[in-house]
Amino acid sequence: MEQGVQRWVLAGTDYVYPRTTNKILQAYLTQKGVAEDDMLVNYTPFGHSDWQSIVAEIKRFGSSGRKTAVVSTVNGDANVPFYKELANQGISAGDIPVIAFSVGEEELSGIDTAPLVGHLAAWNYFMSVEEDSNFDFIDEWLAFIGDDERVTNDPMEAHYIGFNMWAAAVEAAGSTTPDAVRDAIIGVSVPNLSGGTATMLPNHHITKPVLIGEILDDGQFQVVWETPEAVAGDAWSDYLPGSKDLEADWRAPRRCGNYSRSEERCLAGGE
Amino acid sequence: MNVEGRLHYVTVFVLIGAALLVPAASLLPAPESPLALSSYSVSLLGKYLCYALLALALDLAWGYAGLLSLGHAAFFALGGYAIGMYLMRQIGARGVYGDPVLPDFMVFLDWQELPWFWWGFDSFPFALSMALLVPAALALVFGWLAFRSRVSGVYFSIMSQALTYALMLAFFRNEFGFGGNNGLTDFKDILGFDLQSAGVRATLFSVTAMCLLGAYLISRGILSTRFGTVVRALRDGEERTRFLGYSVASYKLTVFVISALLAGLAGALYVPQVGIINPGEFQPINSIEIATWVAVGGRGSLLGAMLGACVIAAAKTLLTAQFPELWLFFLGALFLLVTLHLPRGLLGLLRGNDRA
Amino acid sequence: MRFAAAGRVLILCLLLGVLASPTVAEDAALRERVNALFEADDQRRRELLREMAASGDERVPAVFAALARGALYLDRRSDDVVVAERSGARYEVRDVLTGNELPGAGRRDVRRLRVDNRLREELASLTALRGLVSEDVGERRSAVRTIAAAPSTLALETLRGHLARETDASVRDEIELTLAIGALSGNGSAVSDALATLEGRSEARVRAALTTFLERNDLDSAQREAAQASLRKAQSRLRWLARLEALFFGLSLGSVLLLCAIGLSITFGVMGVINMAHGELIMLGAYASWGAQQLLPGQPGLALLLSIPAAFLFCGFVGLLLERGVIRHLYGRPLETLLATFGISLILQQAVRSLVSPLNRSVVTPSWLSGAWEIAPGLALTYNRIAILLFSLITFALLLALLRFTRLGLELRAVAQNRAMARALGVRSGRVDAMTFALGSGVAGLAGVALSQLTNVGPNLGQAYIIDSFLVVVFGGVGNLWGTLVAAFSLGVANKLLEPAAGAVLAKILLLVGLILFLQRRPQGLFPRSGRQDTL
Repeated sequence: MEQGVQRWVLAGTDYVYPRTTNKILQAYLTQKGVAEDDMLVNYTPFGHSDWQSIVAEIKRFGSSGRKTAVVSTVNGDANVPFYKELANQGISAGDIPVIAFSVGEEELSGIDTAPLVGHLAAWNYFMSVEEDSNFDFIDEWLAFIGDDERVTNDPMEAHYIGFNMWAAAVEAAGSTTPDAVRDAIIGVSVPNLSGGTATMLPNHHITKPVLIGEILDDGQFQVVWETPEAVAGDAWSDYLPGSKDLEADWRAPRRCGNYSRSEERCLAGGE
Repeated sequence: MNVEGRLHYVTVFVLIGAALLVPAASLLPAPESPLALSSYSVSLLGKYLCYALLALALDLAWGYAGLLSLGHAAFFALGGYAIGMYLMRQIGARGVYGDPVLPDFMVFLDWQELPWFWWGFDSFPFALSMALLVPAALALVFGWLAFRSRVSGVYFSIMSQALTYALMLAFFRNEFGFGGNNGLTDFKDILGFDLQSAGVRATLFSVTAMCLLGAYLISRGILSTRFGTVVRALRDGEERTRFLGYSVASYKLTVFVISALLAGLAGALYVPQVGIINPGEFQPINSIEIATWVAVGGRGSLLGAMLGACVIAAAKTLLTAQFPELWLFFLGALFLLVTLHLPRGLLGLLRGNDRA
Repeated sequence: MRFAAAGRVLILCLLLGVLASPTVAEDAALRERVNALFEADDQRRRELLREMAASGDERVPAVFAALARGALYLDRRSDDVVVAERSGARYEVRDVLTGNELPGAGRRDVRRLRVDNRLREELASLTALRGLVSEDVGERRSAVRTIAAAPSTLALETLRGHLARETDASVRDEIELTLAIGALSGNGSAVSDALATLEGRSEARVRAALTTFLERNDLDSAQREAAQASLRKAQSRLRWLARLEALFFGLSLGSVLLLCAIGLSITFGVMGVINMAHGELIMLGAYASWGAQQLLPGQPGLALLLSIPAAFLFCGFVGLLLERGVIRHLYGRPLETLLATFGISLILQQAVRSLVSPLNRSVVTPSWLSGAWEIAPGLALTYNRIAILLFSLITFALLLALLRFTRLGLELRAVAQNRAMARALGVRSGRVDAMTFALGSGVAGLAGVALSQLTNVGPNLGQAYIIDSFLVVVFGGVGNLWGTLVAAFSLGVANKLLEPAAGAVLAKILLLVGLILFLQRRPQGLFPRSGRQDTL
């Protein structure tokens, strides 16, 4: 929006994560005054490989004279033919930038990245983050896997944080029983790999920085935008009518994943 | 008495024994006792029995009527979906969104009311009859069209595979109304009993074992009648049987429909025990895997099919856990070995000894 | 206006081709500017880049190119900006101006210079001004287009100056279009002239400009109507082009189906072998093109061309082994063949997973296959798809010729029609079977090479195409190559015509259901084989 984008293509694989993301995005964009005609939502199956028609449609949608961007929640394998078709039909990052939510370094390692340069991805970590803690992590990983061409990515960082949090919580609780650890883990802070810390919140989400990166020729990302500080994870979106009213709080005594503020009760999943 | 005859009694005995002993081992001893069966193991064994029932169903069509259906994964999955829909409705207001009527995924998709094809699935008898009738009806329509035009052999296989594939694509779509990629899961209880409890799991196992026994005895009964003789005759000489005045198409159709019905029953028993049904069950490769069970066990023998399913499913559990790299090599090699050297399957080995 | 003046000097330098040879002082100045890039904020960076471009130094384009692809780093050991390329965990470092090799660096020694899309656009347009004076028409045209993408007053002035000198009509046209679009934001007669120039043009940027133009609220009715009429005309033209485009998409999908199915059409149609491992032979062909690119790094185009015969021979050889080792023992037992070849397909998939990698491999698209052929504004056909379409037709023609005009073809047809009679006439049917199967497998390898340019090269590649391939063969009529051709293209076109209305998945489902119903009525397919035939 900051870049003056007025029309949005929300392209995703047909499963829960893209549908959730697009639902929140649509609600958000509508609140920001984007008309329904200026949003194109498209779902494709896993592993979709013939993107000709869809890319042509995106191209037509984007040639109306107003700046268009694609938010892609296309998953895994389907990305390669998607980006290839984009590049071949002449859609560059300058014309219609594509911001992907599920393409990371590991996925790029199986793609010829030349046509993708400049397209964007949003993650909480990139291998290219220039921090000593990250360099240490990369060195250890490369030594462990014994292949200097391998990459690190966001899910690996998530695991790194998660394991360290669990370990810290076990130390605090003095026990490995799930219930004790669950109580002890809320409020635990551990360093992340991008120079900050991650803290476990009462809703069982953690704080993370949000990074936007542009794809480079060598399969890495260049961070072009980041939040000034770590963002607290939200269990329920504030932009969706059905979720606005809900909150998660796993602290005793409430211990509820979907507490309804208006009804003042736990809908389900509590104890 | 020949081997086959002896095995028949062994099978009946084993199934009745299992139906009684497995629940006993699961419920009676203290959990630490070496005799105790965890409820995980009970469900695992129950799963094998469902596979055995599915293999039996395919063997009826392939082994006895010569119809290598690659659509049995679809019949199985449809049966599973029907029961899954019942189990979804039983969740009621306990879903994450707390809607009393709509399953979570429908709330998520902003649906306002239950689509018509979900009507009635809150009733167990209705859901169970759908689990049997939907696969049977699909088999009836597909089979009627195919056999009328004398589609047979590999053409039948390829077309039934295309059918499964089309259904898989449809069920993967979220708009189709069956939960999309995630399928149906997060079940709570069945007929008012908690699905997670050891007692319900043990009961489900016993029911599965009895159903398998019943299906086996009924199939055996059908095959021993004149009807069964004609079916075998048309497998071995379709033209000759037709010239003898039999309506080949209706015999084939009957076998195919019974077979689909049994596959649906297997799916209906399977879903409560594994706790999930998703479109992955429609994968064309699953149908071929069922055919392997039958081929390995010995096609044209109900016992062989059941044995093959249990042996391969157990091997899969073991190998994919211990040597995940080796599983596909093993399965592939097994295919080659059986087709090249053991055309009558494992049971053929036993029978061969009997004759010698 | 100081900026514009500086701009004029810049253009003058470029147009006159003032390229002084570097002196020591200039050297130091350039180096200083490059080094200053690291610390500079966005605004300062732009200034630095403009200054560098204005210096006319011939080493600047190389620096710009390195910056654009993110290869400029600050070497923290010397505090100099250098060019670095990653190789494994280390970086190879070169001097930014001389290109001399410097000591290699570790991950901690270097910091990448930030580069984003805006900076890349800036770099491109600075480089484009240089392209205007190029000898090559294509370069001049792309220079105009780059400038047109982000036109500044300065750039438009440059273009107007260049128009008088431009000799090539297509480049003149581009420039006039760009100038007319620029003039739309002006007033008076300039706007009317611009509208006349843009009348009926359907380029995306023209439509964009007219749409923006219509949002102005100081237009008179004549101007408004002219713009609206122009847009309407463009849109009706585009609707037609979209239909043509859908047709091309369909043919392209059809060509992929044809390539995948035609090998099967031989092994299944002619020999009656149900080869479920056909998909894996396609997959091996795709890996062959990956392997060729690994052996010839830096020459993706040559590697791709060489991989065509390589994949054919390799997959043909694998097919030969399969036929001799397994399939010949199963002739006359089609259902067993189905299961055995399915077992082979599992083994091949897992072998690739274990020996190569479970991850997808990256196959580079050579530059001559990238991009699109723009027939008309709004109708662009991608080169890789055109190439695959032609490739599939050539493969088809060669196969047809082979069956009709060679001895193998003759023997093959003889064996297919009447095995016993052919044997009696001295045809060594075992050898013919082996060669036929190898031929079908080799053609599968060719399909793999083509697919490596479209989709993922991974162990599961073949799975995605096997069901479709069988349906194409059955639909076309087993044993009929022409039938396969017609079936492949009609299914491809039908799919792509349904897709805009129904969506990708529903289109496919509808097609599958339609196909099943059709085959239930006519099991022999579109073109039944006439005459005697062994039932499968």
